[in-house]
Amino acid sequence: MTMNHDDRLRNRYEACRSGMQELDMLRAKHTLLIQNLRSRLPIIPGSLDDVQTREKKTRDVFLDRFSLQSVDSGISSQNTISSTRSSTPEDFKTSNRHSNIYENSSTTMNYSTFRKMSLESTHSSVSHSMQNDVEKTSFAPPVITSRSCHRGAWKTSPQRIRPKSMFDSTTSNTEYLFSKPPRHPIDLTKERRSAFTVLNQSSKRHSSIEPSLPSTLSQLSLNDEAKTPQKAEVIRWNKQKADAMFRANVVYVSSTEQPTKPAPLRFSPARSPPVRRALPIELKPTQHFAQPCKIRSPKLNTKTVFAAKPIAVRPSISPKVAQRSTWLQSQPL
Amino acid sequence: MTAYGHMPGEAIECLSIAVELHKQEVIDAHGQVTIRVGFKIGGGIDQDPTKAPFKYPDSGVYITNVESGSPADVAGLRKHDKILQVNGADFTMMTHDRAVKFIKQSKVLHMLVARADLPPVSLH
Repeated sequence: MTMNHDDRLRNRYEACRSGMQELDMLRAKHTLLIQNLRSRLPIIPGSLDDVQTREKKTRDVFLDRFSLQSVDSGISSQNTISSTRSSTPEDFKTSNRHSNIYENSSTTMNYSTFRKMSLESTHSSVSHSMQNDVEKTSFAPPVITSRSCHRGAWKTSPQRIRPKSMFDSTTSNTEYLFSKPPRHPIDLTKERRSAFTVLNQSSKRHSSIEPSLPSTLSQLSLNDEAKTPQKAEVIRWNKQKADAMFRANVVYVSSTEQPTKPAPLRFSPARSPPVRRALPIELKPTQHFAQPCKIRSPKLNTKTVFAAKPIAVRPSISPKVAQRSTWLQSQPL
Repeated sequence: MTAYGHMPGEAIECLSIAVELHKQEVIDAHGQVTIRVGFKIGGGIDQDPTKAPFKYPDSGVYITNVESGSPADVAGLRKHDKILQVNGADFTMMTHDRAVKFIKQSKVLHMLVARADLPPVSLH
């Protein structure tokens, strides 16, 4: 038992050793692969600090872009608000304020210049205090852009638009107001016309009564016209019936002729012997009389059959070998 | 029971000798090629055994003469042997002429022969 235990331990030790060797080999392969990959990749210029600064700059650029998009969305929302509030008197006050802003902006620079300045300020900033300034300046461009957009909107839509809208609305309302009353009397007239139409219908009824007389006359004429084709039809029917009757008569005649002929044939073989009936039947050469001749033929055949049987009944004699009265010997074979 | 004295058409139960005889080609005095067997036969179902030069008991086919040194002598046939079967044909029910033609027909003869020296067979 102790020997077996020792053997097991040795096996386990050897297995562990082999496992460790495999791990070492795998580690070596891994390191070689990594070195190869690093050698293939290009070398990054500069130090790690430079790399970090570049990353920060790229992040700032992305943030600026997002801020610009938000500004655009804000501009659109403000435009919608102004359009919805155009009818209220407060909007006039706000419009005056926007006009004042427009006057102030005329003295300042254009949007493109402001955008360039903001980008330059972001790139030139180095210290944290400058970063704060950049943040402050970053808020300025959206305001400018919004103002410019509003200015453009007011330029495109001056005060004239408001009165146009007011006139349009008023004219439309007035049209509806003026249109409604005249339609009502029209409807009333239509109803009255409907009353007149009823009268017309009554008049139509009278008119329907009046032509009833000529309609009756026409009916009378139609009846007269109808009677004549009815007579003709009756005549045709009578003719057809007559034809049918004649045809039927022909059919009956043929049917009456047929049963009379086979009747005596049926009775003749039953009543009297065939010898006596054979002579008168042969004298009448007709298709019907030909049938009993056919009936007689198998009798003749049966007679021939009887004649053949006795020949078969005759016993056949087998040939017999005649024995010789000698005893032969052959030549030498 | 023996093969001698049988009735034609009845079954025979006896001892027999099997012989294989190969014929011999010989050139005749006239220069013609002939096939030689070396024995003579006599009898048949159509013959009268009482007229035979020997006292044969029935109308079977018998070997009446065997030439010395012939294929028949070499094969072991002897005089007065009764031929029972040749190449599967029953000679006990065969006529004389037919037997002669049958022997001349083939070059090799497989024969069953009965002999008087053989002991008789007892029936069951």
